[in-house]
Amino acid sequence: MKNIFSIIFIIVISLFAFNFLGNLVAGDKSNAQEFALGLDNTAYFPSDGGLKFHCSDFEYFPIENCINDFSSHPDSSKGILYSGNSQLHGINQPELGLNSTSKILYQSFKKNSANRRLVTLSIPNMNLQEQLVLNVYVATKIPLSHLIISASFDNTRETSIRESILPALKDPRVISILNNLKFGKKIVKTYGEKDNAGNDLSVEQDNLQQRVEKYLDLKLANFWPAWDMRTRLRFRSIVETYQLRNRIFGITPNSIRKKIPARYEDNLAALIDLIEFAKDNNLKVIFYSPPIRGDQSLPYELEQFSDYKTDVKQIVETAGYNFFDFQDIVPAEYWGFVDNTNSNTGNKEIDFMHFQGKGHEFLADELIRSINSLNWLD
Amino acid sequence: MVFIASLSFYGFWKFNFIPVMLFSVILDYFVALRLEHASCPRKRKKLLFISLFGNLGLLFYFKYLIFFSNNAIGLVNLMGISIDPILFKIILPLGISFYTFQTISYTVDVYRGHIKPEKNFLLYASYVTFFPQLIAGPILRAEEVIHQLSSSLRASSLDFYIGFKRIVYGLFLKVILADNIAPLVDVGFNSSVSQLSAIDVWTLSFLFGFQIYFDFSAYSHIAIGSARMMGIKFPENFNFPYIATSPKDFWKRWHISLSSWIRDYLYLPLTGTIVSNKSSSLGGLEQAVTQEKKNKALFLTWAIMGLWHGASWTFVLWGLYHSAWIFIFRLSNKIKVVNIFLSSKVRGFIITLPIMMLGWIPFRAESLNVTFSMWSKVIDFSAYGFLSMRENAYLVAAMLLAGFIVTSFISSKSDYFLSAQPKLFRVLEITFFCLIIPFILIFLRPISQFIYFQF
Repeated sequence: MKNIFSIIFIIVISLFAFNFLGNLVAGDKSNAQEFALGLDNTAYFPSDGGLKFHCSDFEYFPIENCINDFSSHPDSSKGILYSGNSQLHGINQPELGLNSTSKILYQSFKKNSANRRLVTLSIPNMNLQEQLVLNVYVATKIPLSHLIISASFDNTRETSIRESILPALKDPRVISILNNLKFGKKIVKTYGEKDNAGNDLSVEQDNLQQRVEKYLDLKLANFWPAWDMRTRLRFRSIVETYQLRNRIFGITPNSIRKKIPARYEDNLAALIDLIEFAKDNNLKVIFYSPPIRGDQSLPYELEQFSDYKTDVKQIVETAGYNFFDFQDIVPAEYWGFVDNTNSNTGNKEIDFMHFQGKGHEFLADELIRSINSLNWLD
Repeated sequence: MVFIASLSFYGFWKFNFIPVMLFSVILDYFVALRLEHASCPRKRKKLLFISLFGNLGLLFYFKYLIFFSNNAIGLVNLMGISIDPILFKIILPLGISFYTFQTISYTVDVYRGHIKPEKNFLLYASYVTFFPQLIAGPILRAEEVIHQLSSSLRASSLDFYIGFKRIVYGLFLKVILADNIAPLVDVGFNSSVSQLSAIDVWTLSFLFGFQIYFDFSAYSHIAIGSARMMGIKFPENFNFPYIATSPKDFWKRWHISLSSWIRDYLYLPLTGTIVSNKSSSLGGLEQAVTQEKKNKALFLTWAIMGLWHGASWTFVLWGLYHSAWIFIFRLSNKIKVVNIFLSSKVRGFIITLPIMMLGWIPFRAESLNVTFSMWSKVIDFSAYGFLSMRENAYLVAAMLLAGFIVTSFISSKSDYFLSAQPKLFRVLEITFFCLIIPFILIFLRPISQFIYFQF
């Protein structure tokens, strides 16, 4: 009896704790991407009278919406694809004005080049390997003429293709294009659907077990709020762990983020492929190194950061395209703060990546000026 | 009832493969019955051959046909005759490597006279298909389980409590630990080897070593726990393998049911040991074995053990790697100086653990080429000067190692603590489970799959 009582006690207390945790995150931002931006930033994905032109991945602000809305637009003949990390959709202190580079560029192109429409894709920490996959994917869906690529040195520390982008690698045309590219081939081999002959996991797709699990998952989420909060709980757990790590090791936004050679090389190889793909398809390209807050010491080893810009400049310009260094174009007062990275004390820290709506205007103005100076859209 | 439940469980994954499993079950049921009445050694051998041919034939077709065909074609191509590789697909039935081994051991045990054949078909079939262990073991012996299944399944409240704890602990290992280490391992092994440093290779081998340990032992915990909740006791399958003091000791602690299966049904026969009825004076083992035979058997057994894990040369290499180290330790045991200067614990943590961890590289790497490249990094001193992975990977590997050492220490003292302070132990145990269950619920995702399901 003691044993049965222990089991019942464990189950009751655990479920109580689980519900408690679920309630704790009920007020959190609804998805991981927004949560990652912190309380002082908001994710802004503007649209044009309901037509979506700024999207993210296949789950959050799905790419398919932008592709469908582009195709349904009556006067769009060619697309300009603008891709980058969360700087493109993150607005710091949105109460000071909600504006984004993407929105300003879209309006500018709509006004001045009637047959060109902007499509923007931005994902937090998007690395160049992911940018390659998504640029190729969109190019197979809508007629593109131009690419604007924003790639931060930070993102060369990332690698792999995240799950929310993997659907792009199910498209045979994307696979075919990537297979003709040096690094793209490796991406397909590593992340594409495997030939599972001889592997019993090959029948795992959509079998009875999976269908039942999905059904139960949905049903539980319907009547059990804490179950529905699990994604937020997972993310909160990861953030808490991340903050604990930062607290223990004294990591702050100013901590130096060193280059990781292997990842750096993979990302540059992906950029070379992206440029080659653009050339093969007669796409015009602008590549820029994004703005970074200049009134603070940079969180990079300066030599490595400088080498990065030299390397990408060389890759882009060798192919006859244009590279811009926008490092200092957003003044310090238009940047902002982010939640403390190592505690929940409420203290704020410098946000090196996201700026205010006004900062977005500076970036958009600089981009438009650069585009005009090159007669890029002609 | 158990048999129907087991078939339903299996059909839940894929109904079409139930007949394949039933073929193996029925074949050995009848072979074993015939063996009981066959007194002529030639006839007995013939019956044993039928069982081995049937079961290994199934395994060969589903698991190895493409591998051997493509290797044969590769050889022919090397000779200048061009033939395209075979492109047909064969889906490997879930758990086939495990249930065929169980049916083989059953027939061999009957053949050796260790056990009497089970006449009740449903009882025997329940033993082979018993759902808690059907997919990934432990590989059960008939003598361990059939007598338990023959009495009505009745679990005491203690069985129920122990079973519950084992299942929850297994879920903790799988959902919280193994599944969260997996992305770090995947990213590392997807990198180009040329970009990895020696420290990266060490880190990846430790990370994967922990991932596969948590993943596989989790399944065993869940299997043992599920059975226990029905009043059935399974043998343990893991016993802190990473504190082993030698490779041989490691294999007495890792996937114990497979190691002992391989020893009894493959290694000993290959050494020439005649394994007869247990009542014999040598406890079932007869005939002196020469060292040369033992060594040959060692390498052959391990190559086969590697192939059992997967139809790939990397698995064969993995097996040979282990046999080579067991062989080296066998030799070193004869050198007294080694034993005097190195205590068993030192040999364990300083020598055996790194060797075992590096041994996981061929298990996870996609080719022999990648395996050798990664191994060569470890002995290249110039490759120790840089790091190629995110800082978190090193941190997690270090924490896991520290955590493992602490846990194994606590575990070694738990029996004493349990008898000295049973109430406090109970409170701590309940607190631990109350803390981990919410996190299991949070991190439980349908996508995660047990690594050993593919074997």
